[in-house]
Amino acid sequence: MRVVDILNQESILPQLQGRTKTDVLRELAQHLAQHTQGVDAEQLVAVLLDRERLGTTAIGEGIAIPHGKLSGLRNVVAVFGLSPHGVDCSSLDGGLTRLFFLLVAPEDSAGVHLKALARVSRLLKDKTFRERLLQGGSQADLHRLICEEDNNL
Amino acid sequence: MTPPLHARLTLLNAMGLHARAAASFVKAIKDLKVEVSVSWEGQTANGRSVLDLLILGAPRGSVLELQIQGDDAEEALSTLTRLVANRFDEE
Repeated sequence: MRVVDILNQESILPQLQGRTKTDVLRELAQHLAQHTQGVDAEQLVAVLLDRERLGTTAIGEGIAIPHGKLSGLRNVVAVFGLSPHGVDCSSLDGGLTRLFFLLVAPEDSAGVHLKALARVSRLLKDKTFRERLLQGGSQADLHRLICEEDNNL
Repeated sequence: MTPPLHARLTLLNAMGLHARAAASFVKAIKDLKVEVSVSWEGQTANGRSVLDLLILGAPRGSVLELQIQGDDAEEALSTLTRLVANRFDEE
């Protein structure tokens, strides 16, 4: 699985507005719902918040990978958002979170979900690449950057 | 320097080494003086990095090879062995 298989250009939010984790999750979920048939934003927000209660998905290095499962989805779908100011998400390393990669998987998809998590993590592993993302840009700019890195993995 | 400890741990939980399990792994050794490497299928991850552990993408049934070095190696080994055997306290 490649990242570009689950993330298209319209699924990128170059400037997240939210100042709290909940606000950012809502922004990401609303964006995904707008672009994905059969996804209800409020239901998705509830799923994501339930997951965060089990432990933060802000895994350090400025990265969060909020995720959850929804029945009715056919494939894993993603939204990538950049927070210009950074958000306190109770990250495991104590830092602010600026790179948000939302992953939503169908029910009964442990294998695919794990593969998507692995691929996104691999994409975000390189510090230089993360710094390039953090410089920001348009949806098209960020999508091009991600495609290039994804192809090199 | 004392030689590293080695262990082979089998993932028993349904989800494998997913995000919450990886976070539990990292937290379990956070305050210990150890370096832990985790290998599976030719890839090696730093056991202190959730990002690294997620890259492994190890599903249920995977046998992880651990190498643990440092003053607290024995404590880390027993803590991690228990964590994995208890399915990361998930089920």
